[in-house]
Amino acid sequence: MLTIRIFPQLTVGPELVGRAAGARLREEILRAAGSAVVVVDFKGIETVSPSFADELFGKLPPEIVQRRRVRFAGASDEVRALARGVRGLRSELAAT
Amino acid sequence: MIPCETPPERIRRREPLGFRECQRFATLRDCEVHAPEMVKAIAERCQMDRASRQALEICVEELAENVVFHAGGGAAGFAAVQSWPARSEVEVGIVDLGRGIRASLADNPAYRHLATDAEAIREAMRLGVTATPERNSGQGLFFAARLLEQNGGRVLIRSGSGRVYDGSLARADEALVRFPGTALALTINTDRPLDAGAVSRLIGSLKSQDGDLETLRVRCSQSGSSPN
Repeated sequence: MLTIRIFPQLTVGPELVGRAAGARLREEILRAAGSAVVVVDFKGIETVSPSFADELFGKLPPEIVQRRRVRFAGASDEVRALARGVRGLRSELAAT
Repeated sequence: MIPCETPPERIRRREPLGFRECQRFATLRDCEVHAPEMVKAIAERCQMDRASRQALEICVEELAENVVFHAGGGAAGFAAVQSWPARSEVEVGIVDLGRGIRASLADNPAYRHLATDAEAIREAMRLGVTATPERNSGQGLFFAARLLEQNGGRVLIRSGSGRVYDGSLARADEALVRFPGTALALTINTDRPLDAGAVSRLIGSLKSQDGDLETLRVRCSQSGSSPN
């Protein structure tokens, strides 16, 4: 099992902002998940922007998490709420 | 070589550090670099707390990214920030001379029926409304409007002939003078919190699905798509 600690391993600050940054993290997770079960640790992260959350939680291929190749840990209530929100948005957008 | 000296200024600068000059946004990289720089400089001057600074940074970056994705034709955007310590306010301006919100939304067949620019602005401020659902999720304007609503701040959006005041869907109308592109003016109260977490919880409560983050069992529409 591989644990990716977002802070301070991947970011210099406690906020995750921007669509491009979210896409980069998603790509990194996907690369790692090719050879190991990945735990993404949000400990220390205080804020996530909507576009970052959309890139990370909304666009992560569902099959990879359904097979439990990727898990998330240590997220604050706000991050969890936003993750749920963008997943709901993605489902609605897919249905239209 | 003739020595060249800068002539003395004949003006008196007031609060010279309170204005963060215009920055150009043409790529997502520009947004990543300039938004935090602009907000950091102003936040330090206004002594904004860390959570409010983070929220303002998210707000500016989301709106700047809107320009990159939706202005069209390679049009760049420009943003400037001004602090007013005596009034406990920060003003943010973001402008582009692109095609405007109504033309952008028309890329999505679901919004081609919008007849006026004011209608288009009203629609764009709703959560989940986007011209490009395969790439974006329609959260930026909603986020900014709700963030400032909770802060007691103000939002003005101009696009084409449409204008919306105070982030209020009820306060939208058609202006006499057409604006060629899109302009946003935000006024933030620095003596009140800017709470990005509250807006995140609101988005979660409005659009939440069953399931938890640890399992993330969700139907996603995309798989590994790039933001560009």
